[in-house]
Amino acid sequence: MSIYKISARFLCLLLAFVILVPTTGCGFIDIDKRFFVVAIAIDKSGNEKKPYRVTIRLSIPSSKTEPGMEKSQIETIDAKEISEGLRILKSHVDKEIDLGHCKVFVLGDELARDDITSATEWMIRRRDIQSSAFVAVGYPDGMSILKKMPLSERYSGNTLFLTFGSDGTKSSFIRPEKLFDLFRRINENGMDPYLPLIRVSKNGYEVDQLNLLDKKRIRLLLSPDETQLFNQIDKETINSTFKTTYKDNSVMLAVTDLRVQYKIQRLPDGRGKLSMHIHIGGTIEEGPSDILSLHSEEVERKLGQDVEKNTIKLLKRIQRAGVDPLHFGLRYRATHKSSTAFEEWQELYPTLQFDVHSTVRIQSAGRIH
Amino acid sequence: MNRYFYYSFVMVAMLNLMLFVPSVLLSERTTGAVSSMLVAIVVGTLTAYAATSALARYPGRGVPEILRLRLPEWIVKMILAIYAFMFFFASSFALIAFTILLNRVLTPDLPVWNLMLILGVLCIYGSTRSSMTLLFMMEITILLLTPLVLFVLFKGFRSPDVAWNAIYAVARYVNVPPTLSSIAAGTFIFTGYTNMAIFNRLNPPNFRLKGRWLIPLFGSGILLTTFFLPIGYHGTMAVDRYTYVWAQTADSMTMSFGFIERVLFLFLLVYLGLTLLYTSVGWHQSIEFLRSMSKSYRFEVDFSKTPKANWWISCVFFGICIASMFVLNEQTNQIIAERWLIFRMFVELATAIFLLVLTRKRPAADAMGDSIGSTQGDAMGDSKGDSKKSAKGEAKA
Repeated sequence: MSIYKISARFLCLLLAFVILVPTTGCGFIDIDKRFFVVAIAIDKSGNEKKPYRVTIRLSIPSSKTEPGMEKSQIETIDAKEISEGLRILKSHVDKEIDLGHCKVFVLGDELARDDITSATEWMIRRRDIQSSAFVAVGYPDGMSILKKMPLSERYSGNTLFLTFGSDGTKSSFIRPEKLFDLFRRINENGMDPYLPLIRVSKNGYEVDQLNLLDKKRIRLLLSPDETQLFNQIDKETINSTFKTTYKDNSVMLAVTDLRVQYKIQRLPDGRGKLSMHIHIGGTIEEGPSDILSLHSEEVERKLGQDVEKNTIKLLKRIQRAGVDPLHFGLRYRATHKSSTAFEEWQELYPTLQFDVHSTVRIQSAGRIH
Repeated sequence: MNRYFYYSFVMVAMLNLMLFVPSVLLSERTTGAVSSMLVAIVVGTLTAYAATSALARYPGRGVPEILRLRLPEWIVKMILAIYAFMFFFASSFALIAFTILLNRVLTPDLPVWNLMLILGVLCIYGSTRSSMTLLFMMEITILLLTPLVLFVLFKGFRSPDVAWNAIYAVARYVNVPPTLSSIAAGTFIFTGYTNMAIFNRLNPPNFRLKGRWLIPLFGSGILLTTFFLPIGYHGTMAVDRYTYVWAQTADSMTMSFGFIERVLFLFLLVYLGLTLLYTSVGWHQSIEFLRSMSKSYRFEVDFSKTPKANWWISCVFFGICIASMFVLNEQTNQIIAERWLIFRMFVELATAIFLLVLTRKRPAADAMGDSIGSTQGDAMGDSKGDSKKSAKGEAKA
């Protein structure tokens, strides 16, 4: 009896193990037989039959992690489709290509000026690509960005990760764009996408400009100053600066406190008005001597005027390009009657008036007054 | 015992955060989902209150025993069969859907039925345990997983990536009249009380359910989160384009200083645990309902030797699940889910009202004295001696 019982249990256990056997599958590949892709660039090749040029940067692991010692392998191919290109690239390398650590996607400038939709859809569809990966535009093309090996890089691709991520540099000129946000903006009514522009510099990369896109292609490239102002208005980025001139001295205000409020109204005559109020508080980094005791109010007023002027100029420039990266349209939808709001907004936006006010408060003048 | 009720409630609410409910609601986001959710909060809370009040009058007895008190045997048998099917279907469907999701996201190289083999075997083991063991299992799992789920949700809401304007824009559709399928989806969040159908057997005679105000509070919190957080992340339009919107939302978050940067994997592991627990509990309820169909069945809430019937029924469930993996995919699942959500809402509403009517005449104080002396007295979970007795009774049957 008991022997029978034990053997029955044993049999069940055995059966359970037999069930587990086929589940090893072929999914498991050891880490040293994998090639980790750290960045992908997608360019236009100029070839009609194979329009995409896919470049991948593969990280080569090394025992030493020292700045500048990292090694990368660049593989590039022209293909009809992006996914096809990647599959062919798999045959060019000896290890399994793994996209799980790919955190930067660089679209070539030419591609971004044509159509980014299919490239974005491909990225969002692939399950192994992170939705929080960064997307950017590379100038003149994506491949040259990937080929650059920055001096200070500790491991492959790290410079770009740190540039866009929040762990490394926190520059007010850099505006990272994540993949899921790009996809959201491409689909959303009243919110248009943007992509930062990467250029190669002597020791690394320059990322201080922003491309504004309609749903498909680049419409406007902001200058570095405009990019900073864009960040300040949209994300209330502190650790940024506002500048003006006062009595032939340039004055720089390092922002420590920034609040932007705005309201969109529909005027009785059918036109729209956007009233924006910008509160700025900060410390002086450059300026005339005795600024706090003698000229404080004057400088504050001057700073405020310049901020208002620049903001209106930027908003009008964006308006003329016909894009809405600051999601004013979404705000209009959020505050007006739902079903008709977006159509109304599309009529309003081209003739929208901007009314910008600012209050500037200089909190200190640094270590000298 | 109070807390076990809430574990069950939290388990179902959190599980439905991810499966079916968001996709149904989000597809109707501009055509009535917002107002439906408000209706669902009221309906869901009232159903939960009604059902728990009814069951509270018969502590120590599950729904099969309560039905037998008043109804002729053939009706009882029929109703029990329906309930057994409902529980089996709900839990198996959750398991199937999650297995497919796991397969798509985590192990695309593995055939999907193969993954089902592993998860199903775990559920067979879980569901054949005694009711009491399952409650303990539920306690441990929920205590371990709830902080992680709340962490992900909290992290989600705190992120600067959330577009609050999109959330407000969708919330403005509140004046669109509610729809049946959205209400049905919304009320599913509140259905944790259904597990009391069997677990009520473990309630001691003096049992009083306290803190029922937590039901609308927690339920509506989860319901609003499951709908609005994905909208915050993916906007009002793109949110509908994702097959697994919550997996996608979790993937859009990052933990820079976590062990794994992608929140998705944490989220999948947490929901793997929740799904296995939910399916085990659901199959267990179904097994108990099926076995209760026999009038001579004497239930035990705690046993040391697993009855053979449990194994057999569970294995049949497992077989059905494996077989269905060859037929079902995301599209069919979505269609079945929508229909099924509506069907189950009506069954649950009917059950709650029916139970309330059935137990109306019986004052609560009466119930206490009665259930101790009743034939099903071995309901008191702690009395091990009694369970042996009923084991014999079962063997005779």
